Amino acid sequence: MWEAAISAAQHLFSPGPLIAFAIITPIALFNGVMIAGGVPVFILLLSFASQLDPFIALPAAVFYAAANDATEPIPSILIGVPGSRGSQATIIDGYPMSRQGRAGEALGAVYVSSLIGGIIGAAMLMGVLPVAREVLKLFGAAEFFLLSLLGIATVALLSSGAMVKGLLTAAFGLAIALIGFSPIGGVVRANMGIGYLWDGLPLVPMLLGLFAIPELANLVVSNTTIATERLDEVLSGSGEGVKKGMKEATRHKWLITRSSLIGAFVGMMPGLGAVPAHWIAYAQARQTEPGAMESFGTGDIRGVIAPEASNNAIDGGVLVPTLFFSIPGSPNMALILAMLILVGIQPGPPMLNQHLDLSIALVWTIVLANIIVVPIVLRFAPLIARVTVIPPNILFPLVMAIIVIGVYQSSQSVGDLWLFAAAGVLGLFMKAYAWPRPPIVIAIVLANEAEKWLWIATNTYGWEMFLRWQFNAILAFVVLGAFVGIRAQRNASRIKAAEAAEHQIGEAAP
Amino acid sequence: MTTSNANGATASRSRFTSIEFIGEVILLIAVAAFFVYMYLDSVPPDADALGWLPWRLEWDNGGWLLPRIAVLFGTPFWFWRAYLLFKAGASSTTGQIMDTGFLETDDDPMMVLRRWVQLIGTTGALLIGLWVFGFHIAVPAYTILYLIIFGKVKWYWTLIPAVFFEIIIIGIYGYILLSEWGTPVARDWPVIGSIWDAAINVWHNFYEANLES
Repeated sequence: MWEAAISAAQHLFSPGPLIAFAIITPIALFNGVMIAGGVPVFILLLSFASQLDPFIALPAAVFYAAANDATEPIPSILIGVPGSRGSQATIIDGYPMSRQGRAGEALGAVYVSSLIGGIIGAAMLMGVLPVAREVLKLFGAAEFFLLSLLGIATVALLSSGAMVKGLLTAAFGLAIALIGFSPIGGVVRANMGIGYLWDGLPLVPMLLGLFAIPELANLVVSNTTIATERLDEVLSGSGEGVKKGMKEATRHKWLITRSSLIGAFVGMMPGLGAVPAHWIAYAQARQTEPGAMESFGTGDIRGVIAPEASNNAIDGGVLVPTLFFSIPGSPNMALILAMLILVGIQPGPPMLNQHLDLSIALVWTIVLANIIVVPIVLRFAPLIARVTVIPPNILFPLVMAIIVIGVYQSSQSVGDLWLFAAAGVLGLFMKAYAWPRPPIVIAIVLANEAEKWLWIATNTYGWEMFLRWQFNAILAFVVLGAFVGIRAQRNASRIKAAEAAEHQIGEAAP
Repeated sequence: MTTSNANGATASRSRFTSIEFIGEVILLIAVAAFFVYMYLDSVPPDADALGWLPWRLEWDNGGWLLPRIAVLFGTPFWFWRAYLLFKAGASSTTGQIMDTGFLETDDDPMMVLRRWVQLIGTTGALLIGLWVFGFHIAVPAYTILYLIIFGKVKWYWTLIPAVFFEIIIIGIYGYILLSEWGTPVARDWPVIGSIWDAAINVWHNFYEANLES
């Protein structure tokens, strides 16, 4: 373990990853505050992944996700518009603070709590490594098949408010993921006679079409920009409060610790993501902090500390189910899972054996991202916030041009462009009718693994695979986890609805 | 028919002809069509009338198993969703955590429609441009034209992103990552093709003389 930790640090502090971090930091910081969110650029990173060393590609992706999270509170606090769904709870107290001329204080408190939260999340991940290693030793092909299938189904099941659509999408995703040559049966399946589909659906055009086109459409059609005058007004004098906010945050270390543990634990629950953790952390702070029942919602600094500490602690938690059990903890983790496959690494046991150093490198990356990004954000928050005033009609062609270049790199065929367009149309329909898209991504990523393990399991155990105690233990654990997850989501939705009604919060950007 | 019944029938009719309802029906039909195709494709082409049965399969050695699991798993949920759609109408876009529908906008519906046409038209034009003229021409041209027409940017500012993308295409992808950009359709056209070849020869001569070392 220690050898792997040292090897991870050696890899991480070599020129390749450090140059990647330097390139990615400004991109991630500016993307985090955009209405379309960081997802299109995240997917774009995938188009480079197969050409990079895993020790550059994966830490860069994790660094991007962590840095992206760091800028999310900026629009929430400064202009009352959530940069993502994960920063909604921060608005309740952050925006009133900004209106009271305390934007700097709120940002200072947010970044100290984010920093500590991120480090606690990473420590939790590190602590889970030896346990996960022992658990995975008990599993065979049947259990790995089950985990792959559950990875697809769990995310669908937890698509709150859309369970039927989520499960239908998961099945559809699994079916389209099986198009093309089957290494198991040695036949070409359902390629509709199109030669391009012989190798199956390439991941990058599918992902960029499904996610980037609908998000960019959202940007252009809603034409959402924030007035420059309002931003100037808010930012005037924000610098002085930062130190005060940082000092204030250190006074609430137990609140930060509690909220971080909530974030890390919720992050480990498959498919839940940042939103429930944010609201649960906010609700526990409101119920447990003295006088919070009255002061929360009026610009109480503890109301921004709690959700933001949990938000950054999640980054460590969500890597546990993603890396070790192939069950992504959030939509971003589905993309990390896709990146693992693209760089040729299988999630699960290999991440704890052959690639243990890579797993630990990702832990270091989370810590490093928080340490590097937080001071930058504190220094440049006003500049970063100005991205929100760039008109969509200027951003759109620039992002679209980068995306089509990335799409074509997938297999360097014109077919990539047509698949991108088709996936874009599908993505637009799915987004318009609120069909969850992450199950399709996870299905495409995990289908080959699932099929390989199914073939080995049926040939090794036959029907007896269903009688193995490990198989049934996983099933029971995941069913229980999904039940707890659904309850947590319902509670989070209830808290969110109550707070939204009380404080008139708008719907977030996806 | 009473007035309330008549109103109810009208509301129901308008619900079934609404864009929300029709759009989701199209999505369901697309999913069903793929499920049926996936299932039937695993049947041998010369199968008899009972060829659709699960044990009559073309894809051997277990290649049929997971596709059929996916289709059989999805089918009940397809019927369930179709039932909910016809019973309760199109999806609500609220209350979801992992996907959220589009942002609401207060703008005039005609303005929103105009933006959709702009989005679909320009993206379609970009993709066709890439196919016909290739990346080296279509990407900078798209950037310049979009920024001038819709972004209201002065033409000389648009040259900055256009040159930036050209550098990425030629420099990073072409010479560092050694990407192949394929042959655009227009290069086979009589006049354009010869101009194209001449331009490429000029570039290669310049590269070999000045940059290769």
